[in-house]
Amino acid sequence: MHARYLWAVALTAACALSASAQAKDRDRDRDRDRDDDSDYASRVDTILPLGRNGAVEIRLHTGEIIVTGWTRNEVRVRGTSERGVISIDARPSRIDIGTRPEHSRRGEATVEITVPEGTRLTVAGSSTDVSVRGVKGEVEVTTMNGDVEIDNATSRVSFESVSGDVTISRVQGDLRGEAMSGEIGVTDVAGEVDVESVSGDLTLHNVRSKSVRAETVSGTIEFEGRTERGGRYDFASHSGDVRLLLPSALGALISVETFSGTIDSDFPITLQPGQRHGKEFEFQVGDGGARIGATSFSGGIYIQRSGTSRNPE
Amino acid sequence: MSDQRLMTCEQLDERLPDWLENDLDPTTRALVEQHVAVCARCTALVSDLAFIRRQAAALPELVPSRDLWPEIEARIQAPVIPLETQRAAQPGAGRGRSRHAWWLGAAAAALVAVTAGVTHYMTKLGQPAPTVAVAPAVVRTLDSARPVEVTEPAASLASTEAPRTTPQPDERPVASAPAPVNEVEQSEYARDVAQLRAIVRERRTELDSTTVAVLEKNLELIDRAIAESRAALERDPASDFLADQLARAMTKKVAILRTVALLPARS
Repeated sequence: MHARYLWAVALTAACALSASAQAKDRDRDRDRDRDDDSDYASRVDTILPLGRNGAVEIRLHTGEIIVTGWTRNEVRVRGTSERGVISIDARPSRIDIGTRPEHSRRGEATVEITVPEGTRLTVAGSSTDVSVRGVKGEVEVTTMNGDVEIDNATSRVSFESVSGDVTISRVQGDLRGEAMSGEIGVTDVAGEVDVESVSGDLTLHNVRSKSVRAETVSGTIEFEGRTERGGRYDFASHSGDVRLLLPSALGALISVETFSGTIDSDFPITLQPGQRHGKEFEFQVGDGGARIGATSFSGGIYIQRSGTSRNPE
Repeated sequence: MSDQRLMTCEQLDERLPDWLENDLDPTTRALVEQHVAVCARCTALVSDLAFIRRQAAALPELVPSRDLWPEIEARIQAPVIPLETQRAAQPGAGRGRSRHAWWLGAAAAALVAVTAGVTHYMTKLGQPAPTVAVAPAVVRTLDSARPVEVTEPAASLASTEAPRTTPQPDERPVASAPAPVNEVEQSEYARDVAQLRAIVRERRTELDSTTVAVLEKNLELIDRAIAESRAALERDPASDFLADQLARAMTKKVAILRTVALLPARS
């Protein structure tokens, strides 16, 4: 009996010690987590189901949004917020992610999201850098201050930005967007292109399209790409230069006009009687199948042959 | 099949908008369609919606008549002006969220009002000059739109100068008008842009300082482009190119003001 009692006491003590040790471990873990989280009011790391053609919308006031595509029918959301709470509203075909202010104030937040390829993505931010890669779906990005990078999208890409630079590459679909002072750089687009800026430069490389429009007030425009029979290509700047790098085997009717700038062309300009009016020229190259227009009030217009290796026709 | 029985009419109602927008995943779509196939109530509902969509798609594209504009404008502007007056009577009142909401509402209303007028004006400005000879005449030049143009201090968002909503009678002889734009249209353009400017001026304090600096810089660039185009056009009034340049710059200016009016506040 006595031995049994002693055994019971020993067992109880052992359990107590073990529980105490476990509690200490838990406290240590909690302290460690608290240290990790001390800079953040909100942290999220979760995986949610979403169908292949679902929609994801992300709205962040300040911080960074990184979106990547993957082949799984799930959305992974990882994020931290200095102030306010990262909120997620998930439905079978749509997920909305944002931050709720805390005491009417928001802090900087970083959200990394992985979405199924083909997701329709809408991203909006105020002072927010945005990176979208490999989503292979429709992408719409709106930011006030912040750089935007979009790579590997399909269907349709649109953007609006006040002061950040915009870099877009590998789009199989139409592209439309405006930036006020940031530069717009576009590479490898197969689809209609319509871009505008006020003071930012517009650079379009390796564009394969039947319709291109690029317009700026004081920025420069550089276009390098193929033209197609029946295609329409319009470039206009008020005070910036317009530089067109066109394939040697070009077939286009080209109209260029400037008020006080210069015009320079690698292609022979053959004028018909009565065609010249001030600094306005219209001339045909090859079969004239495409129509190209370039204007600048005070900037120069330069039409150059691109290297055949860079721009096979 | 057992899943199909699990979908109720209420559940279908919830998924109907996504189904109509083709936003459902294949599994859910199949469940919806299976339910519709066996439910008389939902079949009728979907049939009605499909009928409405077909009818809507068959409607002709309506182009608003300019003749309707004065009435529409009067109605839209009505809430804007009294609010302006009310705010002036209560300085500092309505700060914070309600004020922001007020501005967004006012901005949206004013923008709707402005868009049609400005678009109409730009369309006319961008039209080719008449092919018939135009005798020298006294017309109101684009300078009558001065309250909103370049060289004015009003180009700065920081300006506290009140907008001159009434165009100044700045008449002077020119060889010919760049486009057949009449005085009413010019004054409408001037008034519209002045209204946008007023909105933008009020919103300045709500916006992030970096954004304000960028906007001011870009508005100056556009104002310079407008001034250069206008000066060139006065020297060569028959130039379609210059008329187009001017129209382009002025359109851009309105677009920027419109953007600023609807930008989200910094907090």
